[in-house]
Amino acid sequence: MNYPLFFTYNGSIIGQGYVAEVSARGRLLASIEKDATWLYGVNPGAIAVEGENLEAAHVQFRETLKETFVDFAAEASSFEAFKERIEGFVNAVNADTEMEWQEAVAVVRAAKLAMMQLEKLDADSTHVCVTVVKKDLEELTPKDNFAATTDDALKQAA
Amino acid sequence: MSSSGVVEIGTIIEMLDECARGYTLRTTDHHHCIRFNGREFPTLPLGAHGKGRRSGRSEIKLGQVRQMIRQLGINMDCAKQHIPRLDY
Repeated sequence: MNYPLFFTYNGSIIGQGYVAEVSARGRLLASIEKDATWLYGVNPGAIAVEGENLEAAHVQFRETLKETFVDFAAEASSFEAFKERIEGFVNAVNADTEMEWQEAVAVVRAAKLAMMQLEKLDADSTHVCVTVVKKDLEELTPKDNFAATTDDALKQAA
Repeated sequence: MSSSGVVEIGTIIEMLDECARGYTLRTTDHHHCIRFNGREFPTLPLGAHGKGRRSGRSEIKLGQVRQMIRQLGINMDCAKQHIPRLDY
């Protein structure tokens, strides 16, 4: 069974001489298999993770996303190059997975299916977005040490 | 067979050599990053046995290999000749 989801990510990444605040909303396809739950990226399309359940897969997804952003920061020669790399990554659509995501939206709408107790967002009017902002030292707070926030819960597309 | 089956990195490289001519692969601190066809897949895991690229023994899950093939626009029929379990 496939479920169409939205994710949000908010976190700080330390690069070469800068701190960046990354905020993103994208689309994931959750695939419930007998022995695991997979999350396949629609955008970003270049990611796939698994966990023993949805919560574990989501934790793995966030960890993989953060590691990828840290890799980008290590390779970028400037903040601008880092920003461009993240924007390109998040906006890159996996066309095959997007087709399955749209099919899953049609199924959950027709059957009025709900995945767990996830909040629902309209699949047609909710848009993918990504912002990367350079933070001044004066803006940093101890909260920047922790990426996960309650705002970053998965939501079901419907 | 499920998406959680594993493929050795050596087999993936053989597939890329045949099905994604001109690709590049480099290893970052956390992942393998493959570029092909003007697209990139920077999240291929280093695998259960660490980097392992030289030995070809590092193992990567089928679900991740299939997502990479789709994202990079690699011919799936060609890929299946090297990794038949992609038909899971």
